[in-house]
Amino acid sequence: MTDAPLLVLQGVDVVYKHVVRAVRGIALEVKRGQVVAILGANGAGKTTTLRAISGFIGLDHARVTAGTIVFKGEHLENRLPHQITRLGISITPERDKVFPNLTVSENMSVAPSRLTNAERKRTTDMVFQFFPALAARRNSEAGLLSGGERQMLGIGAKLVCGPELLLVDELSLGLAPLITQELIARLMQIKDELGLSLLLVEQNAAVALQMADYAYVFENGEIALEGDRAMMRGNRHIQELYLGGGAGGRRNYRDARAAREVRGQHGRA
Amino acid sequence: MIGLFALLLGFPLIASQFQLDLANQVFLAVIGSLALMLLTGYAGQISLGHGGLLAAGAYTVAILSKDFGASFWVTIPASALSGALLGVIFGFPSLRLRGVYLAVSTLALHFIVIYLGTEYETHGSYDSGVIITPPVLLGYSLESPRAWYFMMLLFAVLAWLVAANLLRSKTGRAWRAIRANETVAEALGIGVSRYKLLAFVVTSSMTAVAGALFGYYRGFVSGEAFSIFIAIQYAAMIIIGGMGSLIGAVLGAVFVTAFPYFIEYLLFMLPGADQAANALFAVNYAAFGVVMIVFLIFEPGGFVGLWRRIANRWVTSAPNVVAVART
Amino acid sequence: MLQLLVNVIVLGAIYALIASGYVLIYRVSRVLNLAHGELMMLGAYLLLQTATSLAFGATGAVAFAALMSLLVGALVYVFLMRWMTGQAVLAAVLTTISFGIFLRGLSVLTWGSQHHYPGKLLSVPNVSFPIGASAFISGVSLAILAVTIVSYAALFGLLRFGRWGVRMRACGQNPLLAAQSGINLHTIYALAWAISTFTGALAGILVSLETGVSGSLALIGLKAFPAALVGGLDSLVGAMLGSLIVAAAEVAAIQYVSPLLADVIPFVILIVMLAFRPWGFFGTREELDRV
Repeated sequence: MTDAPLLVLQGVDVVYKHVVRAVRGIALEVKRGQVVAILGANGAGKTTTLRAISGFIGLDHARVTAGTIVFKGEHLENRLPHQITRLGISITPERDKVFPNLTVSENMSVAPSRLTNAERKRTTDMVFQFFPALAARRNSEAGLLSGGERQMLGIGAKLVCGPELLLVDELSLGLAPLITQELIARLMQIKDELGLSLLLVEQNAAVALQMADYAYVFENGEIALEGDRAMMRGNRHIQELYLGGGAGGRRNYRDARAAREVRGQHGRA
Repeated sequence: MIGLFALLLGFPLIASQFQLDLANQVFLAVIGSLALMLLTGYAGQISLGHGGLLAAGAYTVAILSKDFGASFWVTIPASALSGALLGVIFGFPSLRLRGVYLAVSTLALHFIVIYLGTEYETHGSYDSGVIITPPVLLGYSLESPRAWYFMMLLFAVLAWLVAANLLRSKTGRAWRAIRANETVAEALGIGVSRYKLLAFVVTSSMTAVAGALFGYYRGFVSGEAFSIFIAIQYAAMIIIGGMGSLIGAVLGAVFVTAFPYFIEYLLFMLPGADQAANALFAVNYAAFGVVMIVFLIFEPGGFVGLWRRIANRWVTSAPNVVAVART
Repeated sequence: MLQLLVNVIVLGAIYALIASGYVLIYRVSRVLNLAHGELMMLGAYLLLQTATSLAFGATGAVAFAALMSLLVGALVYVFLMRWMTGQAVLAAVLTTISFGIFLRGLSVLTWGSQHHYPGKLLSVPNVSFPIGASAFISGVSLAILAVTIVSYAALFGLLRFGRWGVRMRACGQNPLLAAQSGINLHTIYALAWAISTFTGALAGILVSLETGVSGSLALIGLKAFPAALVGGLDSLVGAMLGSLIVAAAEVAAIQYVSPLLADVIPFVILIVMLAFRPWGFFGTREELDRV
């Protein structure tokens, strides 16, 4: 059982308001200590998948109608968010990552944690150590922080919950490249220190492929392509679609259909 | 349709006094409920001030007929006018406020109108309310429930026609747009402020006329008759009937008006009914609260929503329309 | 004149104690609880029931009834308002109003429509203390003042420093993020309802010791609502200020104009406030767009 993946999704369908199917037949896995990225355009179903894992689709009148989501051997389909958090999954959302009227330390301590008080204190200290900008503004309101600092606080506040798997929705969105690079470096250090697994949702494929060991490309609610970092970097379609390079550089999503054939050639890692 | 009219016109021939009285109350409620439906169900503006508007109509009749000896032909248009005026006042906060804040502003105005009414009573030394003499129309004094029946029916039908025609017009379309999304409505070039105020004016005017008729019909006007409970009852009518439907407004009016009589009937089926008689209003209150909560939680679409759901289940066993989202 | 000042402060304290309940529930869950007056009345009836059926003595009965109210508040959330989470504003407000109507009916069925005096049953002494040369304050009024001060201090402390208090503020600001942080919203909301009903019931209990309890007690609760809104629906400091303003206006109206005006003056103040500064003295302006 020890090398069984941490998180496994098999054939997951999510249907909104009983009618609109947002994702179909999603199958993905995250191993312990692995960084996995989900790539895709707006509306491809990335965030829906993240929400299905973290239990938040109920708020949007959506349901997992088929398939299984298993985390450490426990089924997560249609469970309540706080139950899922207790099992060891935390999520930093795309928007509104912090409580603007709470101070930085209040933000760090507001969430219930799986850790003991001592461990919690140690993690808090570690977050402040890795993100000194936060330590300096411990007592100011989070609403006054810059975009990068908010992202740091958003991640830090989830780390003190003691997750084994951290879901990050759009790490780099709206941040300057320099800040993004620093954030990536810190996050990777923290990940190694804590033995975390990460599941990233990114529109910026360059960022995702810099961090990820393995990636899935979503198109129209389905997985169009998957592979490890080397495969992704070498793939001409990924180059064209998401990295802006390659011949012509057209962002034509129909090409992803063709790209899907690649899946057959590479198989699953 | 013709059958319905025949039934409505023929009803007084067979009905008892009690049944006629109930029918008249229903007609009154229909007018007020249609009015509130326009405001809340179509224009999307919340109001808890309906009791105050009814009171305004009733007090207009009281003041004009008592102090100036005005006739029915004067007092009814006058109450419509005073209602319209109050509508501007009630509607004014809606230009800036929404949701809860709008609801409480109308609630506050309700208390103020009632206060002014009772103030009039004390100053005119009508200690326990103002007695209103029955109106004389074409030499015929409107006194019996049977005579009133046709008058109430006429006004209820008029209210329906006004509401239905307004909704078919440009005004109705503007209201629906405002309810759907105020910002979009504004962007489409709809004068949102103007149409919001218009909604309050139309509603208040219709409601005040209902209040005036109520004053005449009861022959008695007192501030105590227009408690906040009245406003809640009207809100209950449009919710229980079904938001955004004129038929819903009528159904809700029938249900809420008949409800206390139904409770009374049930109560007297129980043994020891004599003691229960004292507690009748309390049972009525408690039961009304429960019914309202049940609708709000389990069937927020009211009777109309319930009917649509049942109809859908029977008519369409169509396959689920499953589409892949491409947004 | 001094007596008037004392009256304003005592009435203001009563309103403030009640208004804190409106503020707490609104601040945490954005629901306007218009059954608060009835829940406050229920607290007084629970005292009456305790006084008649249990031999606790005055202090014990007050404490027992207040603790029962804490439970009542949580139950109201769990069995009723939980269904309204995420529903439209009007539906939630109407649910609280309907529940209030239900409580009125139920209380008359249970305790009758006559006026009861739990203070007499518990033989609470009717003492008053002189203030200066010409003014008096009753023992119960002093108790109300003390309870209000302690309650506000406790609420401030909880929201500022308590882990659960910080969570309450977080839920009020952004329920989605709070849930994403693993906070169980239902627990927080139930807690807010429990505390709010507790303080409201305390007010009802203390007022009933002096003036007795009947259905009209709920009206005092309703009049405290303008006080909460005038100060700003999401601000405790505002609730205190609003309560003093409303109390001062009401005492002045009784003294100089007419007692009839006293019941309507809070709503006049409310309308004036809504016309000029609808978010209240200490409220946040953004609140207007949230609803």
